[in-house]
Amino acid sequence: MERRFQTGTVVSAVGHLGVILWVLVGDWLFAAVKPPETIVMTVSTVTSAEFDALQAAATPTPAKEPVRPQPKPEPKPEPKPEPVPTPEPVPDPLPDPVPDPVPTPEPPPSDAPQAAEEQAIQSDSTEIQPAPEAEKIIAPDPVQPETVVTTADVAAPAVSDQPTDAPVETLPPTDATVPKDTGDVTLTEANQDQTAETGMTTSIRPKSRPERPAPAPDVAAAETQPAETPPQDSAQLTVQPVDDAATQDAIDALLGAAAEVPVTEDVASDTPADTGGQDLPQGPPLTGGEMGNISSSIARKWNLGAASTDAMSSTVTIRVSFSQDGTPIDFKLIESDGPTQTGIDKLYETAQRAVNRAHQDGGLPLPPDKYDTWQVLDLVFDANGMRAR
Amino acid sequence: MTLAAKSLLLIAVLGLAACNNPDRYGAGAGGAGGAGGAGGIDTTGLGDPSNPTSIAYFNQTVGDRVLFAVDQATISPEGRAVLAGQAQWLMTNTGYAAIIEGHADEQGTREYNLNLGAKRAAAVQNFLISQGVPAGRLRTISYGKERPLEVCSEEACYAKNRRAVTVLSAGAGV
Amino acid sequence: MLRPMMKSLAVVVALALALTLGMATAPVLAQEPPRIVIGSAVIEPMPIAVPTFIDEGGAGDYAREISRVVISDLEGTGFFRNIGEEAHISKVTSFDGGVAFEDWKAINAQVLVTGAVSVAGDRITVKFRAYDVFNGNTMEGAALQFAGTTDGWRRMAHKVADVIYSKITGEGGYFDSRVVFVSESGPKNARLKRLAVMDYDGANVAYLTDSNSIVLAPRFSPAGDRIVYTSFETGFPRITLMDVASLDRRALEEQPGTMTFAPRFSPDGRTVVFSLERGGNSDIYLLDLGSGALSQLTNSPSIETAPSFSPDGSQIVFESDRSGAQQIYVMPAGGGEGTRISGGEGRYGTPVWSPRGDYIAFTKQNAGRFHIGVMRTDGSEERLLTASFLDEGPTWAPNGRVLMFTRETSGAGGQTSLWSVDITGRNLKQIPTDGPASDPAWSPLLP
Repeated sequence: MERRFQTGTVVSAVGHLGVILWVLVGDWLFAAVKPPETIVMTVSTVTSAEFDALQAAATPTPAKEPVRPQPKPEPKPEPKPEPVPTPEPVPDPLPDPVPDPVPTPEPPPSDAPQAAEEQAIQSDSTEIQPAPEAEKIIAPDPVQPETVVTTADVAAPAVSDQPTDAPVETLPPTDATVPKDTGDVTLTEANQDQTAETGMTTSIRPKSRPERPAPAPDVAAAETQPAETPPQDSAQLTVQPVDDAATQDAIDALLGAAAEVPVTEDVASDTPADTGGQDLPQGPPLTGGEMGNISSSIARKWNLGAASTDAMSSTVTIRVSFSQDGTPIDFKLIESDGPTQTGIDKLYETAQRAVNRAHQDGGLPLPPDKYDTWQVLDLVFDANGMRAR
Repeated sequence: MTLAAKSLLLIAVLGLAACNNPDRYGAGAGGAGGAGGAGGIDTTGLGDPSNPTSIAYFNQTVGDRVLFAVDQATISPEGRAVLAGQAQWLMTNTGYAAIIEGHADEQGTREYNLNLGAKRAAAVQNFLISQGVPAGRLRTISYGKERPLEVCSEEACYAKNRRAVTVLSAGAGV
Repeated sequence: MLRPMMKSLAVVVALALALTLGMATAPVLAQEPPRIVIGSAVIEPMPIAVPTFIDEGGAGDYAREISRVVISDLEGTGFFRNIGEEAHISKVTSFDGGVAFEDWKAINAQVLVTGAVSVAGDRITVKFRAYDVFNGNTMEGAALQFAGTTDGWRRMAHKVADVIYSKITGEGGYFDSRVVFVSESGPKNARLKRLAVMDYDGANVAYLTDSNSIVLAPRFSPAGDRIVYTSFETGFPRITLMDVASLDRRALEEQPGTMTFAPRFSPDGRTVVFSLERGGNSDIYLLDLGSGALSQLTNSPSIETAPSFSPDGSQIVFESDRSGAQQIYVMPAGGGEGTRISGGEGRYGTPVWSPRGDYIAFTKQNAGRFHIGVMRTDGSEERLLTASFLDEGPTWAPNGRVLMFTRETSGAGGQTSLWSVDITGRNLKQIPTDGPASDPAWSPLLP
């Protein structure tokens, strides 16, 4: 009771504080805010932010790459077959002496006449074996064996307005950039075909081929490399932030080199601080179609077949950092909700497996020209919502 | 076991064989008899069905059982007539005691049916007492759905399984 | 009762957070990476690899048999699929040697279990490791060693499987457990019944009574050392207590003219709650095993039976037909009116409180069919898991994730058998028994 009361007070306090905060600083805070990047895939309007992003993508400058200080993609610890910690000895289980099978002679043909009668019947019956009824579950719960799919993220690839709107509004620079830009966009819109050709994604592939001992990862890796066709490649590849200082240096250097393009300067000055209210994105936004494709390629590998009931009642949001070839290199649990920590932990594990498996089995459909944007992704795994009847 | 007891058993089995459902009832009676024996009441011969004081006469002519509706323990008018006959017989033949077995069909959970059988047996017991049979001569037992008479899984069988059977035994006076 | 409240609280908190934090930090959020919702998932067994355990000396068949039981336990949950050895790329030849994770990744194994067995005299040692293949490391707490006597080899296999299962799923284990049940023989109208126990998977059957008298619905004590059941041994149905080790048994309540049945232990093992019938009316009573003191918990002119304690011992769920048909009620452990929690169509009986406390399993009878189902302890979220001519009497696995129950086929040749089902309704399967079997009751996880 007391606890509930306290919680109520806390809730109330938080609420009040929030409102006050809002009143005090709301205006200032909300002045020039880029609409938060939501999950939604409908891409029917182009915000100024998106437009800027398009511009940023169009400008062939490497400066924007290093700008991203966030993930320090530590070289993934090699799975070295370390000598595992010595097994802790476990208290001897001392198997219980199994109760001796009772020395039960079948119903003794003793004095009880009735027993004798029953016994005769018993021997009759041994032939009547149960023909186990074929299972007939008509459970209300969908108990279908394989896939439970309640997709929420069918990306109806909105007919891109970007190519049309964007250039019209504020793209004076060069003719050269514009077509290039639109080219990029169209590539992503129609990414299914295009990327399949380039081998960037195999998300269209039906299921996985479970037991084939083919060295799948290698193939995937090999495929992704050539896919990196854009000219920016060389510049991008040089960026391997190691620590903050180094990153900063690199940024500075690149900034100096590429200072002539105003757009990049904006981006650069904006991101390192990471706190300012400025709203310039760091890469062209993913289209609804692209996000949908990423989502479904992971969903196909997200297996909840061994999930606990608590995990099934949980939601986790994980922040995944990718290397440029699309390899997931770092996972962080950034938000979670669920009845128990164990459930959350286990769901987090299924989420990591899903991303890893999606990468292993053909790779995620990450548009090569938008590494900036997908270098870090927040992925929401909502097992609870999915289970909804 | 004495020769006399053995012959008694033989007579009992033969007598039962003359019933409507000889085998199945025999199995049920076997269980009941066992229970009765353990309860301190001896099994006894059924006698000649033409002898109005015989158990065979009670079973066949008076009627040893009443049937019940699904999930019910109330005695039907037909049942009342049978029980009235039983009461009269018991009042006349005071040398007998009775165990009333309550049974249920298989459509129900085990514990519930055990209780349902008990309710049916109790209903019969109460009726007999109300007709003047001394309570001390009557006991009840429930078999729930453990001892069906008929084995099919249709209403025809269920109807016969929802029963209370008055099983007589000699030697237990008032 | 607590749960919904907490949930609504959580919602309030979330709302408040959204209003305050969310709004106030909107500018920061705007800087955050794209957010993508994974809106669907697949439900299929997780592929794992369990190469045959290595014989580290004298193990002989034990290594192979233990591996087989471990695999059978894991696959039996419906959660896992073992990738056959013929598909393995690398062989595990040394327990402490390195593992070529790429080889296991390549065959899509998510978890690799390696093990080794050694036997000296009648002592057997089993050690194992479970690896997360993608992370390339040993799963936390999943590198253990068990030692015991060779005749307990199955239990060691179950213990290994329990650890693996629980590390991967987050659920508690349940393989190292026993089930007491009623072994049946004979035709439908003259069934012979005797008490028996077996491993949860049907192995190691032992009989506890002969078949001279009817026995019904045995239940384990919380420590697994005693059993209460209903026996006709005295000629009338009586609740009976048996010591599993010595098989000593005694009727607990012998009031003439009454019937006692449907016994079940309290969570502390010191009392037994059961039904006592007198004159056709039954109520629920509590018997103190130490003192013999009897207290009446319900007082109603109807059928009150099938009581089952909540795991914290504070409440009792039971069935009653006081409303005119079987329904499920919850009352304080000290007795009382009880609150009805079942509300759907049909009749509800044999409620059993989950050892986790989160669900109540029951038998439902509706429209001529029987179902095993679960509902929250307030009666919400009712889910039927099975349907057949006759399903009844669920019992919980020690981890509260799996139910075992009796299924009986119809007709003159109708027979009983034991089945289990995951509480999601998946993985319905028959438990192998020598002959017809009914009334299973799961033991706690063995020590």
